[in-house]
Amino acid sequence: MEVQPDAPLVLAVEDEPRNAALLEAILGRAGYRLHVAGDVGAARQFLATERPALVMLDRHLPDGDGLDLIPEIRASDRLGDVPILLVSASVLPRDVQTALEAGADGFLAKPVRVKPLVDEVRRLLDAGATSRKLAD
Amino acid sequence: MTLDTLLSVSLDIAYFGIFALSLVDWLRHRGPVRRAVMFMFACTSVALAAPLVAGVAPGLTMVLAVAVVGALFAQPVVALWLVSYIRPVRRVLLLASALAFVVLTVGLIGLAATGVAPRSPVLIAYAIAALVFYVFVDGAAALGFLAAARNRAGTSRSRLLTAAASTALFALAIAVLLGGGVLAGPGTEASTFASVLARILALVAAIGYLAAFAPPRALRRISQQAIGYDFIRELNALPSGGSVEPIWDLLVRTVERASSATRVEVVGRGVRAGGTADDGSDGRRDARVDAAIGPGRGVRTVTVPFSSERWPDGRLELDLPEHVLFLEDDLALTSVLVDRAVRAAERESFLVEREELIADLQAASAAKSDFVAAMSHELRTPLNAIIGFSELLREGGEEAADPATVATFADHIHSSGLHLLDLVNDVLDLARVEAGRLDLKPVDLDCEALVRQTVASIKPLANDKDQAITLALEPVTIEADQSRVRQIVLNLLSNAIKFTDRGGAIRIALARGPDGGARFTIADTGRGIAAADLDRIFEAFHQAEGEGRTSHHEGTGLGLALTRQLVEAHGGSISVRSELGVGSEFTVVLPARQSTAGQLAPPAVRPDQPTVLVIEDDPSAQQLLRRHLEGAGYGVLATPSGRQGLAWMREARPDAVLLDILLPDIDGWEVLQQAKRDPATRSIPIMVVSVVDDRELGVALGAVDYFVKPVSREPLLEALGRLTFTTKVRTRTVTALIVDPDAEAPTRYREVLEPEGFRVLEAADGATGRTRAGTDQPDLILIDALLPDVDPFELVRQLRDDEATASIPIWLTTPPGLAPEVKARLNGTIQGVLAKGDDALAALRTWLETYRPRPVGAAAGAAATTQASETAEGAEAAMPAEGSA
Repeated sequence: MEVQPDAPLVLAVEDEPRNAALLEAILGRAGYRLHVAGDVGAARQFLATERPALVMLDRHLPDGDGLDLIPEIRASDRLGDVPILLVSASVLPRDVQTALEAGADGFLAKPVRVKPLVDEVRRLLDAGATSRKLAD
Repeated sequence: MTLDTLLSVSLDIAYFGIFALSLVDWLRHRGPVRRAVMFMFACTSVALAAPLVAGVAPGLTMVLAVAVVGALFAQPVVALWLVSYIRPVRRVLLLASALAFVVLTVGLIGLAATGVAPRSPVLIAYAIAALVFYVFVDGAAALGFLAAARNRAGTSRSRLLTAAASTALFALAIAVLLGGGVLAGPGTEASTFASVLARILALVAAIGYLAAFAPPRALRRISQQAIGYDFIRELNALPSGGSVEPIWDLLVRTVERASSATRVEVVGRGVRAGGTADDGSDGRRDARVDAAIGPGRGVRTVTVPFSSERWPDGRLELDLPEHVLFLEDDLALTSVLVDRAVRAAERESFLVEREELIADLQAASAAKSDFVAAMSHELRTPLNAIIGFSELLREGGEEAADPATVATFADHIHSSGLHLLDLVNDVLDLARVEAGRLDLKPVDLDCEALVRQTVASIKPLANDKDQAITLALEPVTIEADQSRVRQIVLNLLSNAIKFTDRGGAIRIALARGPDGGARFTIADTGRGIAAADLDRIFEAFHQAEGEGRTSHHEGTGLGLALTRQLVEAHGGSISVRSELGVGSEFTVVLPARQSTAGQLAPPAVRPDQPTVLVIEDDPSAQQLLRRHLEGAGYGVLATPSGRQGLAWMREARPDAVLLDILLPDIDGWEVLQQAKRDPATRSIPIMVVSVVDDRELGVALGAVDYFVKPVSREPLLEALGRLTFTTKVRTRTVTALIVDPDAEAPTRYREVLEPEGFRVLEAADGATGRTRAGTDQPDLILIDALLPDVDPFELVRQLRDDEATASIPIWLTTPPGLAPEVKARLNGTIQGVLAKGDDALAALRTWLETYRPRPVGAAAGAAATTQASETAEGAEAAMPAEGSA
């Protein structure tokens, strides 16, 4: 499937190159545009100018915890309602709880499977679109 | 005989009785105070006895009269003399009273010789002089007691007050007697009345004296028990948990209050972990106390040692004042209080220890959970790529048709698979090193060449990040495992590259270390490590959140943990210095020789021989020990390295270890501690053989025996032979007799006893048990409390009464819940009581591990215990030390 220039843009914050490549392959095939940020700083930089349709966060990043971005996004008028999906290899119940309490809209455990990932991305994008429509 | 005569005589008899008591008391406990008290009663007894004698032999009247009055005059002098033992009395006062006594007595003889008439002015003048003498000297004595009482507390105070009152009362008695006899004239009604009244007063005073200076045992016991009881109540009221300090403080306060001590201090209150008290501490206790009881003046320091393994140096020190009175009572009471405090402190510190143990276990459990969580995280990361990409390939679609995409996906899968393999290998390596099973293959290793090769292999990574690597290498050759040393250098180097930004600098230095070893230094200009994390970076999967010296993206999170383990397996050390934003510097020091290469497999030993492991680095000493041991039929394992020794203890499970202290890698103390900490090696008996003479420390750390070099053959072999009880080092079979009607019982005990090398004998009833005990002479007897034929207590008594079985350790097994009761009944005659259940076997196992038959010093220890409990009058019967049987 060819990715359209106006396809929804997803920001993936993922430092492991192979896993970033995997997300690119999966989401590309599902018809999304993907921007990868390798650490928290790069993600922040990207978010300063862009407004992705969805943010996917990893947790253990070279310069910090991906969770730290959630309050920043939520506090921003421009980005506040962007859906956030945690994709992490820290899968203990306490980790999942921490992620959801921090304000993530969804949580996927690594290793991710293709279909659940695509379904979850779609669900969050639809929900995001609905809430935007309602807000309008 | 008239009523008043009858009264007088019975009062006199009572008085003589008191005199007899004081005499017996003095004879039994010689001492200046008791002697003075006895003299005082002697004087007045003579005075009382005279009229009785006069009744029998009237011719002696005059002589007797002189004797009576003379003896009576001596009383105040003796009282003052008594005071001088308690507090300083002016010499001039003592001399004056003695002089007055002489003058009055001589005057009396003069008067008697000239035969003055009753109620003559001369006689009245004399009587007044005598009265003044009495009132003055006894008054001075009473004031002396009173002043002494003011400076004292507790029992001493009340006893001195009693003494003061008694002295005053005595003076009154004499005044009444003199007044009645001389002034009213003998034979008058007034005189008779005065005589009876004086006797009653004197008797009361005498009882007071006796209570003050030679209180009957029962009285002392009541007083001590009252104080002891209050003390226990206060001990129980102390808040539990945390510290034993409040117990010592309470002990000091109580002893200060109850004794005459001017200074009370607890010395040696620090706990020595796992301590075992040296034999003979009880012996010292008595010696010190005896020395203190002897006559002498000036402040004395008396020491009451704690008889506790937990505080081997613990003792209570008391400064007792000059002229100490009641020393024995103070000491007896103090002993009781010390014993109670020590027991309470033991209990408290046991609780504290248990809390700590629980905390440690919880921490260990949390660490284990963290490790599992981290492990899960680390495994999932590469699995994510492996599963994800393979799934995309399986699903087909357009990517699967593009050979370039397929190749990329396959590369990702492959490299993630390799990463996973690295991770698994690291985990296995780590587990292997931690279990002491890493095989090091030491070779002569050119470290300089190794560093150059390693740098060359990793250079491309540094080049990619425009990092400069500078080398400062000296030629150093050491004995080490090549691939492991390369792994160490590579780990540190790749970390340096990984955590240093583009364009940074990395420096590697190699220099000759101490003792010809190698010192590697790997420094970078990377992001550095926070001080708070420095301690923890060598832990597996340590990841300060969001930061990553061991971050997962390239490494496995195990690199530094493994590196440290590899360095330590070589007998080396690793350290790190770092500053955030400036860089990190890791230093590895490896020893020159791999004699320390801990993980050589132990040489084979013959299974039928008891094996002794010799850890000794001096070749000639090692040779000598080997000759002694092999000559006596032992199989010998020998190593110069402490680390190697520990590994062999785990693998070869020797029956005993001879351990030197000064070793090249880790010292003998460390070996001893580690061996005693590790459940796998804890029960192997270790004897220290060293030039270092610190038996106390050795025993405290768990050594069963200690020899200072040079050691001769006989004592060494004898000591080894003594270990027959718990190990296979033995010249005969060791047996345990199970007296239990339950057919299953022997099987259960076998589980515990056979690994300890026991042969298990069985008896289903008491009679059989008793017979087998006599004929088979087992080394241990276990008796069930519910025997079909005989009361187990009776059986224990019979075994103890029979010389052949008297010294065999006995354990009684009871149904759960009965144990304390049974224990109380058998207190001291057996080794212990096991309440049936899993804990019972554990308790037995613990006892077997710590029990050593101790022929040397055991008898002395038992004697000391007995003496100690006598000193502590009224104390609960001390539990005899286990093993002194």
